[in-house]
Amino acid sequence: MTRPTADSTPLRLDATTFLYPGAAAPAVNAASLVVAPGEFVGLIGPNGAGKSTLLRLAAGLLTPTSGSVRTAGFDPARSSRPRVARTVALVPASLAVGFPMTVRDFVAMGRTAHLKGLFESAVDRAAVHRALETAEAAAFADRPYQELSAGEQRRVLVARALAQEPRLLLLDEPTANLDVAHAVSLVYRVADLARSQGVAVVAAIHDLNVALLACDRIVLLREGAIRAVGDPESVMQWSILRETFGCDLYIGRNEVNGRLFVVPMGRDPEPVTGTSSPRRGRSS
Amino acid sequence: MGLVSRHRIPAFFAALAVLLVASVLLSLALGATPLDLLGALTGDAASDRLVLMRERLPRTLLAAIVGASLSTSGLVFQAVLSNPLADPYVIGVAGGAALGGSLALVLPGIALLGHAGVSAAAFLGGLGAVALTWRLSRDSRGRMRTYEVLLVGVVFNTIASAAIMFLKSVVRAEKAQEMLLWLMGTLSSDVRSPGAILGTLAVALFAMGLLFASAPALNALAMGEEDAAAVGVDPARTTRRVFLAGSVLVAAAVSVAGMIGFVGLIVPHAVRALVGSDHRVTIPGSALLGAAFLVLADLLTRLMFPVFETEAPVGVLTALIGGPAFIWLLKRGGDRP
Repeated sequence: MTRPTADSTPLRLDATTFLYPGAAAPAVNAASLVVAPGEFVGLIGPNGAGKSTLLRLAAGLLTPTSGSVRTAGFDPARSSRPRVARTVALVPASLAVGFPMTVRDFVAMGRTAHLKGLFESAVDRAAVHRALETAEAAAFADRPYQELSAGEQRRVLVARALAQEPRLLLLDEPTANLDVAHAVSLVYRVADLARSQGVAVVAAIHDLNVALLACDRIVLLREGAIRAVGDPESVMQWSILRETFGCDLYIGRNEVNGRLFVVPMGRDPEPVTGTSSPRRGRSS
Repeated sequence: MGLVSRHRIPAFFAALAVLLVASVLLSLALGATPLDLLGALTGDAASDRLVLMRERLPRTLLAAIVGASLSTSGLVFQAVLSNPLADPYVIGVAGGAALGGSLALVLPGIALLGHAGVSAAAFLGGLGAVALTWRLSRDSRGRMRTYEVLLVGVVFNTIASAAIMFLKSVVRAEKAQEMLLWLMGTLSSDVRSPGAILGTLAVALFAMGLLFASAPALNALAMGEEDAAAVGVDPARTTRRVFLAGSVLVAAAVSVAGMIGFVGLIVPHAVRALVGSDHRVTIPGSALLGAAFLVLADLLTRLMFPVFETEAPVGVLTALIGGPAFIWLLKRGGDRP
């Protein structure tokens, strides 16, 4: 294992390609991306575009077929799991747990890689407490995880990742199942955390309006490849979105706050013109 | 997450310790004939001292070690195999140990070594089965596939029990009876040498220590392999370590006491119903409760001796007492999850 080099960039993808065994086409194809500390990057794209695969590559849960992944200078797929977990945290799309467990115990799992012995220290308990507060999960900290609603479980998963005190926070659909108030609140809290503590955030987000609210940069994926990268205004263009999603969208500007918003236009009367038609693939 | 609230966990352990000490004292003092414990220790009752040191103390120690080993291995197998019905005997190690012990009982060469030879053969048979299971249930990247561990275990146990049946059918009737008694699980065997008992104790303590040290990793594994990896646990390494340590415990227990059933299935469930699923609590809790439970069950078989004029296999008692107690606990726990 090499020591962290001078490169402390939270995430650096260099022509990263990943092919699931037996798949015809790569799920992620020659993706290159550098994410700076404190930056909130949103991954958007249709189902099967490779968003989740890209997050799992960044978390070191998958080993790239070619190209490289570096988190804070090291290769997460070939480093010890505790070391990776102290640097990178992943919020999965959903999670069922076999044994009954309180929310606090569940969030404390995020401290596994930090434990000095078998039990949590005062430092660990403080980190769990802060994570519960930030993810707005403190109110049900002593309830069983299994009994929570899907949206509440989502906030607990975010809290577990925050308890890891990562430098790179990866979120797979953090706002799915959340009501509008909690979705907005969560992305702003994560964005605040990114800015105040210099945590880099990469989040796969389906809701384009949520992505527009919080992201510093948007990465648009289709068929495993990065098709566009840039600030939200430059990526959220009608021609780009229409070609990527194969669906007609209306992009307007909110008169109150001056931000862009996107609404679907309903059934598309004419076939989409573009290089290819909408494609079904691996669910992201 | 159990009947015992979190801040009462220290009291729970204190209660378990008291229960274990009380069970051990009862087991030493009572039996077919009651002993004068104080007299035996001070030297006033020489014959009582002889029974205590030669018979009761080794047997009680053995019961405690075997009870703790079976309960702890059952607990961790249930966790790594994600199967609440798993017990220490689901994986092939039990069949291997049973076959090894049976072979030793009937082969003239090993039989000359006495019971130590049987125990050693059983332990080796168990380890051989572990090696085989491990080889057969690994994928190309060296990870154990838990469903294959179960499948290989079930098939291997079936093969082993067929081989044992065959042995039973071809040996003399008294040999077959000896095998049957050993296989049913008994603490009345003549494993009485301090060396054998201390050896078993050392092996069991080492394996249990290894499992206790893996407790945080086991907790994370309850979230699934990928999430365990995400929080910093290597699932393959954890599964391997727990599987090996648990197998060593089972091999040790079977080699000195045969196959005592039910302890390894119900004690872990009872402990989880009481204190929840944190392995840092349930591993030592299962060890203590399992030890006390088997010491008491063995005491009962000895107390029943004058009534039936024979010793019932302790495995029968563990099922007869443990079953109803378990169902009662399960129903209580079900009301307040």
